[in-house]
Amino acid sequence: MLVAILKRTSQAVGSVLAATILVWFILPLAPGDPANRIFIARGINDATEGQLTALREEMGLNLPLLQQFFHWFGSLLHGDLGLSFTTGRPVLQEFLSYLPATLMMLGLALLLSTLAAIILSLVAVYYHDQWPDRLIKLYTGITAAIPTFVFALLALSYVVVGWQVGRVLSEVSWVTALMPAFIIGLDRAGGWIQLLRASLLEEMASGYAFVARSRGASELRILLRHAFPNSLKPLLSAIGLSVGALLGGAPLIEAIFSWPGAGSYLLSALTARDYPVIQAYVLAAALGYVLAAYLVDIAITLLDPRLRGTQT
Amino acid sequence: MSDPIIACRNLTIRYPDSSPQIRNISFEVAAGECFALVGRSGSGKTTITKALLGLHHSETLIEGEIRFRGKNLSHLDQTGWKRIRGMEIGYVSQNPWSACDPRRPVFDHLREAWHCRGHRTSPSQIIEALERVGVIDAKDKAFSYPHQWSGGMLQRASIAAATAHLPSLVLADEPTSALDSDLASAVFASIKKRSSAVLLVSHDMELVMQNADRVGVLHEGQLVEIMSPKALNTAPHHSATKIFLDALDVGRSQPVKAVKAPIISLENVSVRYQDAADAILKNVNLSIAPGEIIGILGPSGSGKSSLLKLVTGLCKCVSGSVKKSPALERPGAIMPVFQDPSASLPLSWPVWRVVTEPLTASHLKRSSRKRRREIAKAALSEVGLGDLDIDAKAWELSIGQKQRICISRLQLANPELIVADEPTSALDTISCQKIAGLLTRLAEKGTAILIVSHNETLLKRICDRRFQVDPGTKNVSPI
Repeated sequence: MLVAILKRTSQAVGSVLAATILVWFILPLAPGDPANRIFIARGINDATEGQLTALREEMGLNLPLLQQFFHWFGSLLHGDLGLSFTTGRPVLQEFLSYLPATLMMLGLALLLSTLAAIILSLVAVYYHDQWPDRLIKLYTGITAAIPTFVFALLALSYVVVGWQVGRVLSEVSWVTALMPAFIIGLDRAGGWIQLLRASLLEEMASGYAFVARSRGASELRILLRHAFPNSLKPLLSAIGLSVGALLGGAPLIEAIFSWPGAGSYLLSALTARDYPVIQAYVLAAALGYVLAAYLVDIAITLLDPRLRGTQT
Repeated sequence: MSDPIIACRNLTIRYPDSSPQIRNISFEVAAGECFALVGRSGSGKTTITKALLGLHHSETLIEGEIRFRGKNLSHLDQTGWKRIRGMEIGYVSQNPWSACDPRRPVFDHLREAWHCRGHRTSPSQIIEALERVGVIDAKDKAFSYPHQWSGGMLQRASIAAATAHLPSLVLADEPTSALDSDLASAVFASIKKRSSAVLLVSHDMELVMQNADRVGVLHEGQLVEIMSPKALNTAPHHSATKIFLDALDVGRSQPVKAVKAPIISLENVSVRYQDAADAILKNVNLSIAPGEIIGILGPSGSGKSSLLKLVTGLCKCVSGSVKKSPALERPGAIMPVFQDPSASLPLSWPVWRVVTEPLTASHLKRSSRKRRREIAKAALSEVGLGDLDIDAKAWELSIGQKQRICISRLQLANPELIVADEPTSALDTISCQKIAGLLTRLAEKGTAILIVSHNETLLKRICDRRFQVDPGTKNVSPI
């Protein structure tokens, strides 16, 4: 057991490290010079070569990449993510101030989509091949075919602008988070319904379901008490995997809804080539992904007595 | 004669737009009687069971009459069926593990028999029900999970759940095929004790002969004869019955005496699970020579499967040594045969691809698709499936054909040692005979075979040496 935990942990640390290293060496390949951007941000459009070199030296950008990385990594171990190129303030502090808004929106989205996926799959399977099932199938087909941002734009133009329901927001609250969360959740739930519906149908056709029927148990009872807990495994894995995707997709949705979260912070950092901020976001996304995978592993183990106990 | 418990008159069962699966059969089961339906797999036994529970597919057409204690069930709706299922007709399935929700303790599995009908029960009532069918240590074991139970005990628990409301008829679909032969009759006796009439569906002729009052032989959806087991054995009339009975005589022409050096030998080997205190196997000595067939017998949970894992190198011993000949080092030298061929085949692959899969193990000499198809054709005719369409998907085949495909596949790996774990227990007697014949032929060509089975007759007929795993000493001794 201890070996398994150690193995799992080293894998987790490994993937976080790999993500940060990869991004560190890929970022400078993108065109655009951070020093130049900083001058533009300060309102100086015609910085001389001398000024640029001086700034690069000041920020350590003239050093070899490897040395820069170790420098950054060294301070990371002390809990220091460096200073933002554009604002000059500590990245960690800035990042943490934007993070709650994003977590709030993504958390709400995760909650909404999980609930929707569970309820709609159960309905679809209970009314298998009848009109509720077909309707739900249509919905999953639509979400699979159309990207999230299209829904977001539609919601923005019709619901927010057209009907004057809600506002395009810069103020953060649970109510205002509902709209972007709903859009993300709507999209996510589609795939999860397909997944959960298929595994529910499989369980409903299994040997123990047949035996339960032979004892006089109702379909609803078999569905809720037996098939549902037995078919959660693929859904849990999908939820775990999607945490990474959600963090990656957050900037787009946040930009559309002008949501002042870490995603918007990342977008402005990307245009400004603000490397420390980008690195911080990648690090956070990798950590979030690894943490989610960890939690899913634990949940799956707890749910299955065959994995929980010893074999006899 | 009193009214029968259940009577089927001119029963025909078909899916829309296809030929009937069950054609015009009539039989009845009287109170106190055990009526057995025997026949090859695919002869329609399970279809009848499902129809008698009202659990056939909703599009299935049922013609004729099913009368249960005088009531006609043919046009009953689902509410009516629900009232009968579990209360008046009980059902015991083939595999006790798949009959239980793996995430719930066995206690819940039993309690459901009451709870799903809105009846209240007390824990002591459930423990009592378990004890009544002979579950030992019911109080301690009830709250453990199905995977922690042995097959025999779990099947008893399933019987306790099926007969919780003392039904007047129990449908038993191969109730003992997952169990060792010494357990089978004891487990079956507990069904008879709890129900006034039993409809036994089985291909275990030993069980049928011992327990049935009358036997009906199903052949391609028709009931070809009904007679007492004795008469069936001495004077079968129908040709299908004769073929079915002949298949029980699984035979080996000439036993090979092993004089060659063993290709694998276990010396004083002990096996233990990682966290367990007790060993599963203790001081086992066993050697297998090329061309030899070795049979391993032993009650469920006695460590037979661990022995196979040890031989294949899937688990390590804690003490002693396993000596393998260098011939076993190459990939494909040790090949397994599993109990459930459906689970060991990629079902959506065409047959030619399944059979020739071992040829793709080496990256250096890949065969062309055309060549593979030719090889598959030849390999299939060797296992008696020469007529089979090599483009057929594995899921279209009968279970017996699937197991022959598995054997044909492993033949192409050219193994030195075949390790077979209950290779025939999912099969009917005719398929069982064919598999036994194939294994014997492989042994005559010099392949060593290690078979674990609870089919004692099979082992007696084809094995050169037989061993038994003693659950007490955890040792393997020759019989």
